[in-house]
Order: sequence, then structure tokens, then C-alpha cells
Amino acid sequence: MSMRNLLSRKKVVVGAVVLLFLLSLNLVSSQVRGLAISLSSPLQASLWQAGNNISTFFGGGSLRRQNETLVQENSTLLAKLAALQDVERENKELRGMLQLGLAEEFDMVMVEIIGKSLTQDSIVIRGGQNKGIQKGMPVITAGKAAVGRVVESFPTHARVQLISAKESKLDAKIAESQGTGVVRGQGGQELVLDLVPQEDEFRAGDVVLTSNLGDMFPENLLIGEVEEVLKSGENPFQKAKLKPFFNLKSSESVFVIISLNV
Amino acid sequence: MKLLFGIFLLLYAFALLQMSFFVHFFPAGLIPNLVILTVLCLSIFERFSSSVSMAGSLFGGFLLDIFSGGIIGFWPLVLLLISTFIKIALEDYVRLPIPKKF
Repeated sequence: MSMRNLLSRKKVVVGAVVLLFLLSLNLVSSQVRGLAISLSSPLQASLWQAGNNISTFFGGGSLRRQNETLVQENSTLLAKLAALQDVERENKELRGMLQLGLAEEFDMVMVEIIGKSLTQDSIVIRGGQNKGIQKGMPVITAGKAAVGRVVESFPTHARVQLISAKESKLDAKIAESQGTGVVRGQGGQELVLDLVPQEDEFRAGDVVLTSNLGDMFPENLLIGEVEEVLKSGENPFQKAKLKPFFNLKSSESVFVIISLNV
Repeated sequence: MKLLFGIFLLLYAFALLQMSFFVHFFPAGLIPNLVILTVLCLSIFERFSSSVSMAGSLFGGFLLDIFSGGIIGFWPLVLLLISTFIKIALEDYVRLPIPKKF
């Protein structure tokens, strides 16, 4: 009886028509999302700013800001150290040959973060096709930490899938031992370093960087710090839980790499 | 009609707050999904014959899809099914003195 009342013909028809209409929007999903994000972006930007200010105020004010600056400086120094270690090794190997460039320079665009996706590990940035941002471009922080890559580019905005998204995989190396592996996103801003051969030694605190094996990111970008090594006798590979260098809560802007100037 | 418009506004505000405001206060990935919670509350507290939760499910689901990058239509369908299930369960199988507000 109740089922009959609840699912009256009128309701079923209206519900089905609306659902069909929503499904048909998938044909123009990019335009629909672009429009929705453009309309909401002023409000989103204000809310992001308000949230940032309030959390900073309650989280220790100037002390916290100072801490964030120091963390960012630390990331930058770690990136420089890793690049220098690499250069030192290359110098040893290529003695007598021409001197190679110390670090890669990128052609980048700075963009503001205006929101985080509701159900996935992705962010919305203010800047899209109008700033030359295309699908697939890597996104990094000022401290040279990998953030993610652009998955959708709208006229004035773009959606960036974070490296912590479940679908995300990228080739990585351990800065100290040069062991290689694959960093997989776990969702909820968590990362795992996987497929590291058993013979490669590494421990908590080691820094994980992007490697030159992948084509998604330039080499030597910071990914995360090893938090816990997960060893298993049966598994031919080692795993580790990583603490990402990119912190969404304390970031207001990121950089999209438009091209590499090697 | 006023009620529906108010609920749509509330769902939109919750979606924006969730995306841009609460990110700074909750540990990553653990932000409560206010849109889903609102639809669940509507399903529980509305009269059996009311269609407000159905409209809320469709609009709230649309917002979740539009701001997340998934297939548009997935969340409306899921919320609609959950809402229908709750209403049938509360009407036929659970006898609780829940005040029906609208």
C-alpha cells in the first residue's frame, strides 16, 4: 500500500524525466561544470579566504603563519638539496664531460585555489584556457612539491586531480638511496610508495621525489616524506606510507607548469 | 514552493561551504558531507506523501556530481534510492515517534 502511495505514477514520471535530463547533461558536462564553477567562483574564493583567515586566527595566528613559512622554506631547501645531490652524482659519473644545468626551469602560471572537490581528491583553480592551461599539465607548489595534474580545463577555471587521488600513479625515487618505486594515491590526501625492490634500503624520514621515468612530472619534484616502511616477507617489493609535502589546508595558490625550459 | 527554494539554497550553500570553507577545519578527506546529511534528514522528517526529499535528492545529487567530476546523474540516483528506502522503512517497518515537520 505504502509503496504504491510513495511511488505514485506522477512522482515516478517526474523523477525519471529529471534523471534522464541530468544524464543527458553528460553530453555537455564540460560546459555545464564550467558554467557552474564560473558562477560559484566568487563565493568560493571568498569562503576559501574566510576559512583560511579563521583557521589561522584560531590555530595560533602569527606563530602558525611563521610555521607555514618555515615549512615552505624547508621544502624548498630539501628540493635544492635533492637537486644538488643529483648533480653531484652526475658530475662524478660524467667527469670530464660538459657541465650540465643545475636545475630545470619551468614556464609556469600562478593560480589561486578556490575550492576542493566534494567527493574526490581534486581542487578547482582560478585559471583555465584563458591562461594557457591545458589538460594533463602538472601542478606544483612554490616549494617545488608535486600537487597533481590538470584533468579538466574550462575557459576561466580548471580542475586538478591531486597526486593523492585513488586514480593517481606516478614514478618516484628515494632521494637518499636512489631506489625507485611508484607512488599511488589512497584518497583523503594519503600516499603510498609501492614497488620498491627489497634490496633498496630506506627508512622513515627519507624524501621521495618524482623520477625521470614518468612523463607526467619533471624530475626531482618533492612528493612526500617516508612516514612508515611497510615490509612484508612474502612480497617481493617494499611499501611505505608517505606524508605529502603538499598541504591543501595551508595553500592558497599553486603553479601550473605550461612548458619545460630545459 | 518557498520551502523547496529554501532547501535548494541551503543545499547549494552547504556544497560551497564543504568545498571552500570546511577544508580548513577538518582533517583531509574527513569533511562531513552536509548535502547527503541534509537529504537524509529531509527523508526522515518529512511526511510520507511529501516530495521535498525527492526534489532535494535530485538537486543535492546534481550539486555533488557537478562539483566532483563524476558522471552527472549518479548521485541523484543514489540519493533518490536511499531516500525512498528510508521513507518506506519508516512507514512500514519502523514505528518511531518522529515528528513530521513538512
